[in-house]
Amino acid sequence: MECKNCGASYKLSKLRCPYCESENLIGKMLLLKRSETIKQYEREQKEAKVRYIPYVASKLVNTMLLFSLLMIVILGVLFTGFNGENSYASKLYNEGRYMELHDYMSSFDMFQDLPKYMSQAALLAYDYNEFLSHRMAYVDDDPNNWDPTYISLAMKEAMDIYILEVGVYSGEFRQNEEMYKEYRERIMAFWRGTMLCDDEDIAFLTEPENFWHQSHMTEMAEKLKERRIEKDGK
Amino acid sequence: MENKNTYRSPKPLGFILRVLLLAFNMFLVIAGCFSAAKNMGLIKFRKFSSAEDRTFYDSYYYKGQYGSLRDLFYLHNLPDNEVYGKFWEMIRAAEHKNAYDDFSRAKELGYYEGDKAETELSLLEEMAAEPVYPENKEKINALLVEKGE
Repeated sequence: MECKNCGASYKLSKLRCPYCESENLIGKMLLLKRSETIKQYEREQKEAKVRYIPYVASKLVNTMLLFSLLMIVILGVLFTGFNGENSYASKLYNEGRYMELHDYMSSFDMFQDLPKYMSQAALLAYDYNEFLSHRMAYVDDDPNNWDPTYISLAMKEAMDIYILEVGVYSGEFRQNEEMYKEYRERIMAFWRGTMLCDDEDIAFLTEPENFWHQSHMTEMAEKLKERRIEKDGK
Repeated sequence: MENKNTYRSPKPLGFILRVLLLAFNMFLVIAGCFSAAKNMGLIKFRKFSSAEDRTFYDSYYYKGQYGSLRDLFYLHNLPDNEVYGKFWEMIRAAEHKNAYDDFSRAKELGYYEGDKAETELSLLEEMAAEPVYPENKEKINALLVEKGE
């Protein structure tokens, strides 16, 4: 710009003429306006930052809400396919993998969540497995080695399986008929063949109304032991 | 300058309600995913099993106490692999022997008419002829001899 006093040219941004030191009012005005502009810019930037965060948060919440609703719809559609007939438990049941079914149901405490016949099958299979282990461990080929206390355990387990005593899941279910047949056939062979139970013993063992006392079963086991020793001795 | 309305702050009450709804939805989604995975068998609870040390079970094996071995194996959920397979084979052989004993005696006494005794015997004989673990051959044959007593 041109100095009004001496006519010299100098930069507009200077506050005084470098030659005659006269004041540059336009330069002063520009500087003031610039600092005001900067302050206003900083103020508005701060305000924008403050407004921006809740704005972004609100947008994020909206997006996640939509996503979660979508996920709920998808899971809902999937779940309608996961009724008792299509679940993993059903797969195990239909394939006859009852011990795995028992492990699966007990690890997630699902006995009350699934159909009763399925829960019964899992529990019966577990009991049957216990019976087989005790039959193998305690019922020796030589009856002289039999301990009536332990034999009575195997007898009691067999009885519970035969009369389908599994607590709240007791009773007959059409879906488990094959299982009942297989287990009962084996247990009856054990009672009649190995333990030499007579008709009176079988009547007691197969009567669901019978109340079990440990002493009764132990007495029965002692009697059966003697009977078997006598038979083997002949 | 930017339009102040470009970045409007949300109303506080509406924002809080939406956040609460989101929290609830996320809970449903997580629970639903977990249930779906459980239902499909993708999550399986693995029972604790002892370290792969066979020595604990050897004494039962050598004494022929297969019933106790069977009990322990189911209790500890031990797999039928190269470590424990030898024991499982003897457990299965003993199962066949027990079943044969029960059915054959019941048949002898006239209480059973099926052919399960023969089936169990042939399975035991197959195992004795070609055991998966050759070290079990003698033991399985011993079970075969026992069944004849």
